[in-house]
Amino acid sequence: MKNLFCYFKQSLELKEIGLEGECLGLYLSDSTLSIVQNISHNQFYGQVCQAPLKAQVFEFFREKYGCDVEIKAKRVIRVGKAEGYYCMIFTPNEEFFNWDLGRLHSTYEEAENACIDKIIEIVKTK
Amino acid sequence: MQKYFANRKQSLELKAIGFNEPCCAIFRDDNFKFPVKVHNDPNGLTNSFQELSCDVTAPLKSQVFDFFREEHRLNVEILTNFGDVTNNTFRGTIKNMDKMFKDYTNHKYITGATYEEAESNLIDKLIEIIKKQIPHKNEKISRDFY
Repeated sequence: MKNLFCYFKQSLELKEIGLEGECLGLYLSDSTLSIVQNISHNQFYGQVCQAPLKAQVFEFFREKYGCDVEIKAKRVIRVGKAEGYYCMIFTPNEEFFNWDLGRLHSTYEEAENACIDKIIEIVKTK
Repeated sequence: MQKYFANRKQSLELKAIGFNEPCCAIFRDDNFKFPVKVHNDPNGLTNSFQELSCDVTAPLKSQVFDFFREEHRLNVEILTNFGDVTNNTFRGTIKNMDKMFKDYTNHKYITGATYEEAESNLIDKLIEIIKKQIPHKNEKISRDFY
């Protein structure tokens, strides 16, 4: 289930840029993920950090910043089989939609993580 | 948090078509619950987990999409609505990862008034696609067997 959650560094950065509310996961250390329920930031202190679901993060970006993400499977034209995943980010001014063009991720999770990292970067520079 | 999970009907149908991944929530007597047991187990619970008297485990929607992508080579693409919030603006498609031109939705999008609704409608469609395929798979197995 770990791959459904943001990793530790992302979770810390998301907290910094204002992702609040309930989460299902909690990092007890940088590598120990515990699944809890409905935990909000202010219920814990010290070296722990909420672990949001990736789906929650995309929702946060969509609703707060108007950033949409599309992750698509790229197919080899002749063979027709998927060879990897690529992603597109749509922001209100459309300046980043092709930031990842030409880069192919071998797994869906890798593409999701690349999107989350990029959107964190976009939001941080705003 | 329940909006991130498949509903009870979907969870039961997913179980019937072979979904048995670890989950962190369950449906018990029609109620959505987070069992205490799961808290210290990041691997979650599976439908084969017998200690809990639950109807079925409740998968996250993203887990469901992973299942269809990995087990059935069906990838869901939810498209941007470019900030348009009028009704049914969230659209998705289902693509077969091995058959480029295979169309499951008669060249129409699966839509929803909200992102969650579009996701849920896509899950219903994915289940429907696999349920239709299962008799053919069973037929093939029995043909191969005899």
